[in-house]
Amino acid sequence: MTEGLTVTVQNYNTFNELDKSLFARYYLGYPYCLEKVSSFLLEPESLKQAIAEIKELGLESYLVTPPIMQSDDFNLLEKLIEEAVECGLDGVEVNDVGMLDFIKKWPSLKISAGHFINIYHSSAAKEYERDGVTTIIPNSELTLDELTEISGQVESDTEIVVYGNLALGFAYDCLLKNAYQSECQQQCNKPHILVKNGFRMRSIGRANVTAADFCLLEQVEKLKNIKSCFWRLEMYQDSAQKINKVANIFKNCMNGEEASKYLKELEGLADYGLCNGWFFGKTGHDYVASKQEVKS
Amino acid sequence: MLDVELLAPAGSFKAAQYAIEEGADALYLGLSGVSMRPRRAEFDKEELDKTIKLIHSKGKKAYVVANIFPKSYDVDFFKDALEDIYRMEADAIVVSDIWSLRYVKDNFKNIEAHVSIQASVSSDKTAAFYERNGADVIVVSRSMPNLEDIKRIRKAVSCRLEVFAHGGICFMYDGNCYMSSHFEQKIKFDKERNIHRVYGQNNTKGECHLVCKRPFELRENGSTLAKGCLMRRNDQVGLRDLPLYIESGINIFKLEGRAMADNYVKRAVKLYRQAIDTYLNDSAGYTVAEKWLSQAEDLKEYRLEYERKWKIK
Repeated sequence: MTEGLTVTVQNYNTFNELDKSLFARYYLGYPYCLEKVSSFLLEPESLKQAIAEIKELGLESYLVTPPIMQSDDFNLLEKLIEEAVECGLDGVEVNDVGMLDFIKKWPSLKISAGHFINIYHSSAAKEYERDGVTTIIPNSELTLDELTEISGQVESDTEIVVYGNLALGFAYDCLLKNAYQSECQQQCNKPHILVKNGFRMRSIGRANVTAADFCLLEQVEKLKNIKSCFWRLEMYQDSAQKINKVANIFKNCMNGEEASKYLKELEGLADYGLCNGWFFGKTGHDYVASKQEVKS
Repeated sequence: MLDVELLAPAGSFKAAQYAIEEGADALYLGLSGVSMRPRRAEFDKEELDKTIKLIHSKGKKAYVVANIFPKSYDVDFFKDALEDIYRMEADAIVVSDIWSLRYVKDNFKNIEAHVSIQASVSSDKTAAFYERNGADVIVVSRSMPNLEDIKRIRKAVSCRLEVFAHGGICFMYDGNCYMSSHFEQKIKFDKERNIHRVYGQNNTKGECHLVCKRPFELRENGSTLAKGCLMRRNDQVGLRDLPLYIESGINIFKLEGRAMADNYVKRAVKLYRQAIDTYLNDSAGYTVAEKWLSQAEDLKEYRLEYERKWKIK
């Protein structure tokens, strides 16, 4: 049973153009770099504005925090969280376990344990529930069966990425700064692709993400069987227009429409094709059409 | 007396013998299927037991690595492995996440739990979280270049701290890289365990395809911006920074190499034993001998040999 769609949004401009009727929960921020200009993490006023608008609609706002935080990163986020809580922030997406203790200062906050927490099975998920986690976002390197095992065993909601660009790694160094041999000029705003023969990844500086759009549209019937599950659009790099289109398609399929009718449209939106990640236990960059499923 | 320990890799019984002969204080080694390394660099139960006994008979310590992130079908297998390691009287179990850490602390007495390099601990608060949950040793991230950050971690915790002193560095933070399984991953039938499962190649298992060591082309809007091994980072050589690490509160100096040749272990341990002893005997007079740097350079050849086994082009 799906609880609704969630979406990741990195800045106010994108947020402002989203169709607010499509989403139950908004993840505001950007996990991959604290130097990202115009990101909610560097623009507290925009963040507060978005939180207020979300609250007025009776929906949920979460602040996305980075993986592998340095000691100073906590100081940087402290004031931001403080102000966001005052404006009605509902929760925080945690990607570094150090945040679990840190955010106890704000007991009203709910906690989503993000992809980088590396939850691979239900016993681990339950451990994080002991630390106050209320939504489990399992690691993406999991199959349908493994995702179902987790959601079936936990009290929390689960949240599964159904579309977008999956994280393939997070680095200390910025690959784009190195390639341009310059200080940060926000080159990550442009699409940079790492190519080796037929294998592609998108570089966004300190992280690589899938170049192909991860897509589970053809698997919506299976996803509906996962208990208390939000469907997440992980679309930090995409325009509001694309996010709205994708969300509409998933919403329609959530309500019983045939996925196959929308597949071509999604393919048209994806510059580098589609992939299934690890959903079928296969190589992440493959796309397995529903007719060719492998036994996971 | 400073609490400084040289921690050597042991991917084989021979490597363990070499490491002991050359002066390692402790050895880390893995049990088959749970230690983030290819099977050839892990031990089966009988070999592990024999090797731990050898290590103890020479007065050294044995840290057994169980730092995969188990999947649901691995959990019982993983718990059995922890039980086996405990029964073999290892000095420590090295784990990667909070579930494994708490499992070790809740179920086993008189054995240390070390938080693995896979946890990429980079901040005082993250280290404090693990210590509060029972960590006896925390390995700080090998991507952490800043001694100030290490000092802040030192201030935040009282447990021992370990640093990656020598070896290759991945582009991505450890425990947060999914490039390998995106590149290639297979599910096969495991006769031993009677299950279909993923064979290595992902963040959870340790048979990495070394994607970050491979040449790539970086394109922007169809034009080539750069070509080559864009994600390859320089090897860590900790000889120069050894005094700074010790003075920042690092206790354990780990050398990479469970999957490397036995001779690599012999030479690497010998080199770092010499450096640590030089510092301990005369910290103010510590200098890095030219011949040490050339020996460290020679060790790189073993890494390249390892990479060639993966046919990286």
